[in-house]
Amino acid sequence: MRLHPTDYAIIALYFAFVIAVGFIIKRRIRSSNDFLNSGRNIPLWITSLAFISANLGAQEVLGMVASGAKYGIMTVHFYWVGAIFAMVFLGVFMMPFYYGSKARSVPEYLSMRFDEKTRGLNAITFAGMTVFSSGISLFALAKLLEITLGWDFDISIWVAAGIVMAYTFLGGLTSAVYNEVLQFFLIVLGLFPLVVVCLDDAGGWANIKANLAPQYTHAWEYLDKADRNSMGINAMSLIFGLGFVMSFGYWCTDFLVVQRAMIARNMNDAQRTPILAAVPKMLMPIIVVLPGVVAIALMQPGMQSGPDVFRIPTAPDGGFDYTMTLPSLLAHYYPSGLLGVGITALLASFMSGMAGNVTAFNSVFTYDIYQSYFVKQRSDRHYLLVGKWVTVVGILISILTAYVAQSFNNINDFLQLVFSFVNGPLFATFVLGMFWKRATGHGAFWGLLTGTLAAAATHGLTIAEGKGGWISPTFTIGSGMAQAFAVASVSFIVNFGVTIIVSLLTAPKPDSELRGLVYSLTEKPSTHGLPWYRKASSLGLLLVILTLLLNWIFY
Amino acid sequence: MQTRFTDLRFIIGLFFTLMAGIVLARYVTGTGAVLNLWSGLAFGVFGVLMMVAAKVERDEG
Repeated sequence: MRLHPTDYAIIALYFAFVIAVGFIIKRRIRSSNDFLNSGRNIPLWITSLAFISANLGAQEVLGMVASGAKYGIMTVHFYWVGAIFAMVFLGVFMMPFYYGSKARSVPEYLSMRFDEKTRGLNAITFAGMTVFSSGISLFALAKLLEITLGWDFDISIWVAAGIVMAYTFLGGLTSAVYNEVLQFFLIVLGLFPLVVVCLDDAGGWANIKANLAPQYTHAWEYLDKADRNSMGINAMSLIFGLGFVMSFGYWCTDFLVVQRAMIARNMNDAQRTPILAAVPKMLMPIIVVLPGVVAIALMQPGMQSGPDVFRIPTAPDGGFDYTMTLPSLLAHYYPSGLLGVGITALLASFMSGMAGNVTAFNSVFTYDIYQSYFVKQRSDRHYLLVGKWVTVVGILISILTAYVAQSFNNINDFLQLVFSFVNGPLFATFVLGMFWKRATGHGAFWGLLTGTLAAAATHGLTIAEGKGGWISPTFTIGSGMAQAFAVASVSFIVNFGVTIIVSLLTAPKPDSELRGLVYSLTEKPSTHGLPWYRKASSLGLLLVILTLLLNWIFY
Repeated sequence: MQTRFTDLRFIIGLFFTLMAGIVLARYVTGTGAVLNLWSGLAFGVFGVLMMVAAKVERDEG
């Protein structure tokens, strides 16, 4: 793929704008709260789009197009099963505690609800995960640019990381959030023309259905048994593993996304942030799944004619290199000019993911590690400076991680695995903490720890597609995805059980210390007199119905 | 901290308007690809609408 100077002009324009946003916001930063929490003064439409954009990283965009090509329309489960319900639950039931407790971060909520050791465990694992995740994302982007455009790996890493550093250092969370909104529009509007032209080229959805195996165009029909679909999962493991444990574990507890709702202006806006964000999330498969399905349809015999046909590149093992589906579609369909927009959209998706990780990292490190355990009772200016320099340190660690990932082939898999061990059990801690006042700090801590160990043990005892089984390959699972769901499910159940048992054996906090932190002891936010569209519960119910309807349509 | 979200609308609008200009310029001077024409027009309309929305918000205080 070769870019025209026009394409480079669009990329340069984008870089100039994101840095300009940093300079504009810099003038408004007065305190650590402004830098790390946006002063809790961001309007609803911005928090909602930033909420969805923080999740719209390069791996999400490239990965979902790849998954659409590999598994077909079943990929929508990551949205219509694995996201919307959890986002509605977060808005309706959990935001009153996150926002109402006035906690500045998710780990800080854990310290209020449980104790310092639970906060410390969550803060340290989360800080490590975000900064490593940012590095892996950086590595993936530089590798992609090297393969598709022939750009130098080192230059790609330093330029991309340098730009993210510039605008997050200058304007902190507000700058990251503002740019996430710009990035959201760029990704959606930049990739939408691709959907239109490739769908038209394939003869429309009806022609795609007629030319693809039915497993590729039905979301649920082949989920009765794991061996009837290419994902190798059945409906039960999908609903419990993805739809409940993994989905709620990520959307309801990961500070990276929850932070965007916590900076809203008031409780009502904080509650509606994830719910309004669920609207674009529900429609996102049009942008990131459909092109993958179209790509695999175009590869079917008789779908294309002439010398200039689209092909998904071949991997070294002889199969399709699905990760390259989106770049190949862009190169095939976009003329120079629009190609620059498409490449910029990819860069934007990377930057929104990286900036999201870095801003969540600096909040958690500054408040939950540095201020809590190392240097207490200093001036606000001190913590503002620490927050700024932690941003720089976080990005430097990301760069280092990217180079380590380049040297060790399997470090990406290893880190992703560690992330799943840590994230899998987390939702059990929060759901018990928020809805069972008897849950104690000791219960939460040991539940989290044993849940994580159970995840590691499950992975070590099961083997799927050659992965896992490092303790003893005792159980064989049909696909890596089914294995991931199993690991998450076991870790959740173990955490849930251990937290309950240890809590019943230890003394709980008095009710007076739990007000505003536990459902039964918290006054519910009043929505009396508000129109339906300003009530989180009404909006959430509407979204749940629409999501069920979509699942039924694409059954 | 004062956060004027109208500023963000203006920034997004300006960005898309300039990007539309580049894409349309490429259509006129180079490719002639109809995809550049329609996409450029769509980006431009979106950008101008965002800037108008920002201005209306600002004028209304």
